[in-house]
Amino acid sequence: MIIKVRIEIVIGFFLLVSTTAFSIPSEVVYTEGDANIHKRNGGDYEAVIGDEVNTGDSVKTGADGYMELDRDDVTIKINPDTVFTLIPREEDSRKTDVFTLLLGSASFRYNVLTGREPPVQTSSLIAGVRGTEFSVLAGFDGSSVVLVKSGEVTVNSGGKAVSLKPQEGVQVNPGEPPGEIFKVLKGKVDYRKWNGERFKSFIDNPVQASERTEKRMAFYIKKISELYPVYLKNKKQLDSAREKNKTIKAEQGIEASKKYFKDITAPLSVKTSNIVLNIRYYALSALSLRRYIMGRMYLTLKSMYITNPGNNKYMEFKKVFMRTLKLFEKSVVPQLVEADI
Amino acid sequence: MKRLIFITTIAVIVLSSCASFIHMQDVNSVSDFSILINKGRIDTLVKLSRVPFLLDQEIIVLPKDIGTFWTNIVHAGFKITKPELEQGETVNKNSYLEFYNSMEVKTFFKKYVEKGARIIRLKTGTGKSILLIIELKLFGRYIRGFKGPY
Repeated sequence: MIIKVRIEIVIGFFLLVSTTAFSIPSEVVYTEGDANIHKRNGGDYEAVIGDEVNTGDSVKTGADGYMELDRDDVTIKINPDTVFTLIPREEDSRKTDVFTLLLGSASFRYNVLTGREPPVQTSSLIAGVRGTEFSVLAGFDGSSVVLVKSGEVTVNSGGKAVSLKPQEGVQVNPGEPPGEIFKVLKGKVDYRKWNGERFKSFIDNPVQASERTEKRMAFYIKKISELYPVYLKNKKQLDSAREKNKTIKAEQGIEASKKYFKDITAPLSVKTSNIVLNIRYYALSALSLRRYIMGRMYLTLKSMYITNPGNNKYMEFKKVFMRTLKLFEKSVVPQLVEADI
Repeated sequence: MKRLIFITTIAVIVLSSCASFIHMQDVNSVSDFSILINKGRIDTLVKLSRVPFLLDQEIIVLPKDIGTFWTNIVHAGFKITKPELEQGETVNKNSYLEFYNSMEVKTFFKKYVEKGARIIRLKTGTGKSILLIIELKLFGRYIRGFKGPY
């Protein structure tokens, strides 16, 4: 109970600092049609040029919506019917935002490559950026496509990585390694057509699509369960360091206490908060999978089979769906807070 | 004129706190909702639905998905025969349990369902029930959630 309360305090503190400490705001430089910003702390509003999009905020465009964001040296073009967000995480002792495309399509253009570009992820892959211009598509069933125009992009999924060169693309299904690399014919990849095919594939075989999301959910849960014991260990060390510092202060004075804080307590504190950041990164990615892929699959099939709930295909889908939901509730929900919902 | 508005407002407040008036509102909600479904009034159903929307245990966040939901159930030929109000109550801290016992659904009720909203259970001719979350406004009502038929 005490541990749970403490974790909540750490998460609360993390939420407080995460949106301010290291985030680089993206600026809306162009918008048209139905384009909204959903702020991390609640509330939707129509985007206008000059608005800022910060860590944890989401961008949602409707059927006629379009938005361009500028951040550092990257321009992000967010196409119609897209949900895009920024989820923070820590890698190699550096905090960064991960550009997360939940649904729809977006293009990324880097003016300068520094080697510290934020990765791009969808519900099925994470792409390391060494390219200057590429597009990402995220489909109804959680599958994704990465298309490179110039430079190079490394696509990771299902424990395998592939590198894409200019005019190359790859499709990735959730929970699976990248598919075959294909040549991209200029102007030949139409998001609506591709997503229509993904939707049809889901309707034809909802059980397979659901099992793929289950695999992806299991991946996020595995990452959380690997990190959680490390967090507990670090937290224990941090607590005892804080206690020890009190003794040092009482016995050796304030200067010794300050030195101990600087050498021991502060690094431990940073390390612990970074672990929390990464646990939250996987938990929020799992929540996105749940909300934008699983939830929409459920809504579609439930409404299609509402007069025939005993349909075998629907029943089998529901079995896998509920199994995945139970996994999510058991292992991911404890890492979420009300503000995430 | 100001006096008339004042008296009307007071009358509405008094009326809306009266048990039989609330019961009548619930009965009307059941009847109106069933008519909209049975007549396939997708546009009106979409207009009356609020996002985020609760479907069973799912929080639906995209407005276009609400359109998909009502369109699909109408196209599937879903009808509500002999609709009857089975139970109506004001949303309380345990209302989420009627939908699904989870942190997500509990938070949905806490964060998104308006104070004073009604949870309405309607019985259909097939013997199954449907649960609705209805948010009441001075001139109209909105649908915030749907569960069933179960």
